[in-house]
Amino acid sequence: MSAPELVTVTIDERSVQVPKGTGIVETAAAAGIEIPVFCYEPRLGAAVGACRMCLVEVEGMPPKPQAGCTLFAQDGMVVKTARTSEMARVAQNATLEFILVNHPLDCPVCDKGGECPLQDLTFRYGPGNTRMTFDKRTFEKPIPISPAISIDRERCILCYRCTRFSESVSEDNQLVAVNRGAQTMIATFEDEPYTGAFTGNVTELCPVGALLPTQPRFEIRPWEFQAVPSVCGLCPVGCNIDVDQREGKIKRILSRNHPEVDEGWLCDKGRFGFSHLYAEDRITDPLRRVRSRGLEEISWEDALDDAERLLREANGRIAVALSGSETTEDAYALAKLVRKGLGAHTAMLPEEIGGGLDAFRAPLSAIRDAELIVVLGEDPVVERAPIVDLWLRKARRAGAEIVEIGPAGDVQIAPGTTARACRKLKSGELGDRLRASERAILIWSGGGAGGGSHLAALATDLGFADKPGCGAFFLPETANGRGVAEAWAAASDDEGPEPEPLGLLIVSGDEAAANPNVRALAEQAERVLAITMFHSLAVGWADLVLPGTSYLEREGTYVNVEGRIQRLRRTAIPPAPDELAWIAQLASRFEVELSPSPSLVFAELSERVFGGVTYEDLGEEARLPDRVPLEAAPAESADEPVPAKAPGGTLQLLRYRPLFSGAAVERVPELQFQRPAPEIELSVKDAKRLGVRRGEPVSVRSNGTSVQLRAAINKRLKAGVARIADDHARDLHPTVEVSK
Amino acid sequence: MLRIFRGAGLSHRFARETGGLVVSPQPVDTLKGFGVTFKQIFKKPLTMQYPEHKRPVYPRFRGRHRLWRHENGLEKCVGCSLCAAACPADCIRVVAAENTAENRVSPGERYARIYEINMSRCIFCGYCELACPFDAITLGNEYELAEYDRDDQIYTKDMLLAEPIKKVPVADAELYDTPIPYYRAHS
Amino acid sequence: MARPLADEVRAIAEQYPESTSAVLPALRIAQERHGGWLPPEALEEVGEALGLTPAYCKGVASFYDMFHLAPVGRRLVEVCTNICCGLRGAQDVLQAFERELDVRPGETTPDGAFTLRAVECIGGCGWPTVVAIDDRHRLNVSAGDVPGIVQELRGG
Repeated sequence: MSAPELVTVTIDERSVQVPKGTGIVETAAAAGIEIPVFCYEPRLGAAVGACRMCLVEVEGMPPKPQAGCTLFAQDGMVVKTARTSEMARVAQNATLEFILVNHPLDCPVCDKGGECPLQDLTFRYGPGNTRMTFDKRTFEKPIPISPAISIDRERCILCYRCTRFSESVSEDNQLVAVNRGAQTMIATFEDEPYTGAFTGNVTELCPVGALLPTQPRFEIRPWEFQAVPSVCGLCPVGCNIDVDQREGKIKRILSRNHPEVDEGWLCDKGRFGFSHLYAEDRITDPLRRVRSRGLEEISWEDALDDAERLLREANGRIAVALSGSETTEDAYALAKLVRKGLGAHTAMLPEEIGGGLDAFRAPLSAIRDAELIVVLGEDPVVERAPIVDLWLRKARRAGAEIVEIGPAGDVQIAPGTTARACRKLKSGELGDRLRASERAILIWSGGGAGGGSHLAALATDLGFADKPGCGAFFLPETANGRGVAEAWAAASDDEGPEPEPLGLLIVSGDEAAANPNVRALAEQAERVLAITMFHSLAVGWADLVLPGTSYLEREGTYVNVEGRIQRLRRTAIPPAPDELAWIAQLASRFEVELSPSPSLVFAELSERVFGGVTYEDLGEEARLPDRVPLEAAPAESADEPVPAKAPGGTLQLLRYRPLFSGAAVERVPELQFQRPAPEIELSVKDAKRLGVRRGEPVSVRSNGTSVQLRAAINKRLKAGVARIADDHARDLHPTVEVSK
Repeated sequence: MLRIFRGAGLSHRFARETGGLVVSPQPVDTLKGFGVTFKQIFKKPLTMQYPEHKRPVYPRFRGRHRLWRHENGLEKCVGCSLCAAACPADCIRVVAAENTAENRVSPGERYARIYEINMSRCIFCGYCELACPFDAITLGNEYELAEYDRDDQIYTKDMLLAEPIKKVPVADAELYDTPIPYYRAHS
Repeated sequence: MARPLADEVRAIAEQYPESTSAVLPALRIAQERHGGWLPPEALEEVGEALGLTPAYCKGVASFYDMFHLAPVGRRLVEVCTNICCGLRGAQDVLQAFERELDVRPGETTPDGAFTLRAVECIGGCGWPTVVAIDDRHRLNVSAGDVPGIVQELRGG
């Protein structure tokens, strides 16, 4: 790409050089001059000039105020803002007076008060008084447009930011403006809840207090909380967040724009999910199992004594089940304790990510710039890594071609054959185009183990390593699966035999505690030590329970889907000491040297696997580490066995783990409506064959179990496949029979 | 003999040197001073016997805060926290909540669920009163705010909404049933 | 009523490069099929056929005056109250209709026979006042004509 042509624009007698086509608002900012805006937001696509706040005077254009946000820098342009142009000043003043005609001015009650652009701009550019003496327009208020967001239509200034987000960012088209003129209001269809992975962003976009989250309603004022910069730990994207806490408790989470990771968007799980910290069944003290009475609270001294005893008694026959939600430091500490101190080297890692992908590292923003994107896999991208879905939509709007290969996609393949399809891409027409492209992206979204290695092999073959615009992303299931795997490997070079029989199973984290495979392993173990946040995950199987902490309550690092190491901060006061504190204490009883300070643990770990970077190097907006060239062709894992084709009349069950599921989401009342409806997705062909229409109840049977679900028809789904969310699929076998 | 003394502890030496008799080095000035004191004995005392008698304060004296209600009994405060924002001593803590049909505390949507003023920190500058958009808080004239316990210095919303408690007796039999001694009542 | 609504809508959509272009004609047909107004089901049907959300269809339908989101009477009486008609006594015509039908503008008679509406210009500025009855214009209507018109409409 050649450097864009520079043009000289004069703004308020200041001359500034910007690339041709830069918006006038940005041009003015480059000259150090503010043009106030409400509706203008470059991330929402083309400017609409709805609010008229940005009015400026432009020489050579018709002698009337021009909407600055809709203009672009041209050579020799002379722009006067309200600072130097009386016309612009009067126009902006009148615009604000006009906006305020129907604005209720209930700032002391409004939660936006204190961080409200309308307040700020009225203070700086607006009239000090009003000439309007008539009654203001009133609406019923506040109305929930979903359990998580409420709308106050009196405060709305009709800037259309929210509807533009709904139309051209999340592309769900659920939030629209209905009626016309002064009667216009923002609404959903028939007052249905605004549902989707990204709805919470409209509360952040709203320049007034019209769309507000229901969760911290009236609990905070903007000058009362501290914003702690951290990283979301609920999915592998690792969106940058600002956590607003007051008096040690988290009140809300806002996105913190990292232009390469999240572009300032945040999904609802990350935004509204924090209240699980204050769930009823949160464990705050260590618990010991007492034969007849269940779990009993014990002191930390007793708990550490107990833990030491359990570890010694197991005599090295120990396995660790990790969640992938531990910080890299916690995982390293646990690994060092168990591997160095006890000589146990068996771990159940959350998932196999596969090496080699670091050679094709790219920022997620590379998806936006790509021209050809291939998405392989069985899970919808939005369920695994929601922000990646937004990047894909942005790419599609920019004209990129996106080819989805999966049971529901452009190229339909049978479940379990993703690895085969991946290999096929090395040849063929699509493969040639990928090889020829300078800006191509591969994404693997679920479906079988070893996806990372298949993807690395394909990317190597396609020559992606030498093309900086190309990248390959394996979307893990867990937030820090990569970091945990690296930490476990870094703790020791020794290897040990599989423990037989298993003396002690250490279950670390909620995801592991809820995992049926871990539960099955626990059946064989003599003892179980669980580290978990919630009572219901601990009861009935653990001999000793140590309270876990959340990603919002501990210092540490997560490694995200790109391989970017990002720093988590303690944003709330945890009800119990964090993991690292007591693991370090326990380690000292086994003569293992371990610091309780995350920065020192990270420094030790970093020496081994991250090239010696420190917390200071990571900073608040972490850089993507450079690509690591491949030394040898990546070893490809063996294919998973392909499930047998479903016999005639039955359907192959395709499960997926929905975004809105898991221990955290279950404990957030505001997110319950987002959980998937009890539906079974059927292909058009199967629906026709079974005579089922959309919304009709069907019964899904397999091998003795039966579930009642509603039918949904997915036009992109392969015939012979039925897709059900994990929450509803429960014990169903891989082959199901569907009938009305 | 007149000697000039400098520094502390010299009076002892002087006493020693004069055989134990302490004589002022400036006898005339001393007597003048006593004269002033003696003159006061025959004047009517200016001192008021606090706490029985209290000097009236100016109406704009800023003392203990008071929260107010509307005539219909609803609290004027909506819990906007502007007082807390304005407070230079950071002594006000407001936690707001939402009014419901069953539990309506203030007009409008929002009310102060918790409203606390830490009187030991307050500097009585009156900024809270200035900041309040609803005239919900004012500073009164009460200044008797001493407590035996620091915790008691934190005034809760209920305390601030109520009339201030008169803490010390005054010489007013109609207000107080504590017996007032004869000599005080008639002084 | 030969073809299902969805098929007809899709046939219209095929004439345009983007399905959003077909929303207005599709809504018009849907309104005809649903007794002169657009119930939520109609918006859902149109949305489904065009691959749009029902919310989008509602946004469009609520913007334009000729789509009705609430039930209308069997006869629809629309009186233009824009400048030309207004100067020639449209307000009197409107009031005459209010009197005769005993409803306010925007309301439907209790028996469901008439809906009276005051509308902006309907393009008959040369012949004020213009009254559109079931989308057919009557020109040069004066307040005195109203009882007769109502009589005629009632009588059949």
